[in-house]
Amino acid sequence: MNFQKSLLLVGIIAFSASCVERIQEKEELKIYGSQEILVTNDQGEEVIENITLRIDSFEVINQDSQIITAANFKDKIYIVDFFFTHCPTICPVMTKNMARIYDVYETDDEILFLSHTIDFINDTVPQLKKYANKIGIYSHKWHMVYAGKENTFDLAKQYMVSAEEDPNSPGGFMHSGAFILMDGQHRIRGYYDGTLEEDTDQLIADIKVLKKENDER
Amino acid sequence: MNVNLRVVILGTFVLILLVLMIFRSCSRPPQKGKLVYENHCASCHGVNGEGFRNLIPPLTDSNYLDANVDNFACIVGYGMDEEITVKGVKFNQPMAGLEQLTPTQIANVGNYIYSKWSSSKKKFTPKEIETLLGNCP
Repeated sequence: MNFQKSLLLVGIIAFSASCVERIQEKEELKIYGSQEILVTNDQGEEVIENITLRIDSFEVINQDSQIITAANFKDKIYIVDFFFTHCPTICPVMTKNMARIYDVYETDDEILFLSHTIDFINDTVPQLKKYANKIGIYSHKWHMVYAGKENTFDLAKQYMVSAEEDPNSPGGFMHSGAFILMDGQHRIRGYYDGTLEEDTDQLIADIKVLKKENDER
Repeated sequence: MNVNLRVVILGTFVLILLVLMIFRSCSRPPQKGKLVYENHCASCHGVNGEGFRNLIPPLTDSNYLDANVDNFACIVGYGMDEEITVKGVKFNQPMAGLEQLTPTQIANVGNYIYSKWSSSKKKFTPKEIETLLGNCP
């Protein structure tokens, strides 16, 4: 290697090490919440069976008063979060980051969004609609949904994120800022901090992995 | 060019780059107010104060800023939960107060915001902010 080349190389390495945000390009995404259990089969033998967590049974109402079920998300790729419209702290940032993903995939029918409100008093359907209008989104693509307290907190448990009433939190609710990436079989494929831009970029990259997986199926 | 000289030049070059990397760390030297802005305001209001659609108001409305000089400290310190009109658009998303900020930090971020986006270029002193905070509704 000659002198000029090594100068250039050192420069390039130093620059990329100092500044470039690293988004991981993954080959495949792990499946969260799958377990291997020991069962006894008909022959009386003990075999290992793989149980995969699928969140495939729910019924919610979106901002257009439409009933939305898990079937709406079958064979799609979708992103789930928990929020409330009067949330003064992390939700506006989450909404902003989610809108960035939405913008990237606005014309791609394979990608959907599902935001669960956890404020069951204020976030009526018209309030959800108002909030959606402020962001300027299509209801058939980004569902802002009401499911009632019991169902919503139960869903949060299934997604393995926290969401609960907490009088000491700003706005009265404590909830996770996670974006949950779901595949077409209702399996959890990724968790991201919805308040961070870097995590949002990683999510956008990871969606491509799931799209490829869908294409190959 | 002899080999020793090359090594010296290359070594110097690497050293300069390292020093630059340490001091630069991907941004210009931070002004105090800019740093507060980026850490506490930018995630919602945007790096350039642009706001977010009709949900989060922009901070670039000079009229609004100048009409609210006396409210600035209270809004930052204790938040806001009322409908306001900024650049002709109504906003009513509540904002949480940043109670962890000191009067000096609020003054710094105020000076950053007002120098950038208001025509008055109002300058706050920490003392002034402290007085304003004492009179919040």
